[in-house]
Amino acid sequence: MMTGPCREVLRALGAYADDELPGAARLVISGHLETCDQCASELGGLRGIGDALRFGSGYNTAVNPALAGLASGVTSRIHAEQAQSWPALWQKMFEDWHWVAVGLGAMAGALVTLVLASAMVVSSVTQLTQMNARAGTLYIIALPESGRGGGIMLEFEQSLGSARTDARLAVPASIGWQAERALVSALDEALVRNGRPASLVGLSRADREEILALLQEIADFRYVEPVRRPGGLTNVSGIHLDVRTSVTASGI
Amino acid sequence: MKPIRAVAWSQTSPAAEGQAEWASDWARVQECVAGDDAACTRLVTDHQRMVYQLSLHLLGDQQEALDLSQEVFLRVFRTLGQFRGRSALRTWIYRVVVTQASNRRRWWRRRHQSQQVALEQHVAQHGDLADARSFAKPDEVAEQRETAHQVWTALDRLPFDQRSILVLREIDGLSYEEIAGALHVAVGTVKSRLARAREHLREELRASS
Repeated sequence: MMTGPCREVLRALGAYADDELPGAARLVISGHLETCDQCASELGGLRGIGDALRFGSGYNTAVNPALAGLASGVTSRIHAEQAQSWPALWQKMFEDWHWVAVGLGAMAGALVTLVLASAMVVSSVTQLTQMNARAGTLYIIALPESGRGGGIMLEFEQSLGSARTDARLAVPASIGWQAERALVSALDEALVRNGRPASLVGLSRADREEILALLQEIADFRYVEPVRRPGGLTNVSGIHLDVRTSVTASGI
Repeated sequence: MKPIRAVAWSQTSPAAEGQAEWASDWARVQECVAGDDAACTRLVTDHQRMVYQLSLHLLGDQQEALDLSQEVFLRVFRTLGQFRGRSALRTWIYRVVVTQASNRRRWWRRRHQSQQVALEQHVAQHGDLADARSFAKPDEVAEQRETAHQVWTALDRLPFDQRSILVLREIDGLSYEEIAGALHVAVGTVKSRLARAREHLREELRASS
């Protein structure tokens, strides 16, 4: 039957077997083991397990031959890993200045590309803005019949809403303003399609003939009535269509 | 080998009796960190047997143990800059072995069923028996073989933490303090875990017999 001292001894028996007990406790247990067969047997069992483990472990046998190349294999692997690491690549780059030049060249190329792309974008936006604001200019030049003195120029900005204003300013009221205004309105309608200035180049034959007819009628007004100008009257001898093609987005 | 990383040495001093080993470890670590190939090679050759044997006892397979040994030393060199000298270099390496073996065993268990290793196979993997046993009588040797077979079979059935602590104590002969350092636990935990492992092992032996 297990007594009180045996319980204490068994609790510390592992540390005793492992030689991890302080001297005084070790002496107490040693004394107990001399008189208690049960605890001594337990100690024997513990030590037997350790002996069996060591017996089967082959701990004192020769080292596995495969270990001979372990050190060189490990150091080579570490070398390879370090060669692939970022600090190593950075150091290598500065050892060879060609890489620096390559890097700077790549950066410069990227910068130039960025600037060119930005300029193209800005230019495209500007062109689009101009196209929307102005499609072209229609000039109608009235020359005096005698050939003396300056002519009169009717200027039609081919943008929405401006042709009528310019025509109104250019045509004197004294030469039959109401009829003239109707003709100019008709001309304006012929030149504007869907709220945008039409392309004179792309006009159909019928539209061209209509515009020329309108221009002819406007010219007829000038033949009948002299144009009042500052400093005197001038007879209109002809009207010419002059198309400026400064903006090409709409074909003008 | 290029320098690994600068090391800030801990102000914590180890026990006086380990002063010489501590200083030696520190010098070796410094040399390795500075990129001394010869020092790195010495570190491997001085510890490879210990690492391999412990790996073999924890995993029970020669090829696995060899692979693990390489992994352990790679891990050691990758993290050598973190070594602060709070424990002996040997204990620190023990900890790496146990951690890596635990990971590898977990990985292995997820993919393969655990296999019992016969003593003959175990001896074949571990090599011949110790020289001291050659003086024993043949029948005693046979009895010892049988006992060892039973004990190692029972050991294979223990949880990894109990197996590892028994191996560290009984085979590698580490002190409780060294085991605590290797397993990163308190000394009291080592005592209780070791007692549980021994009791568990004896239960397994009783069950098998």
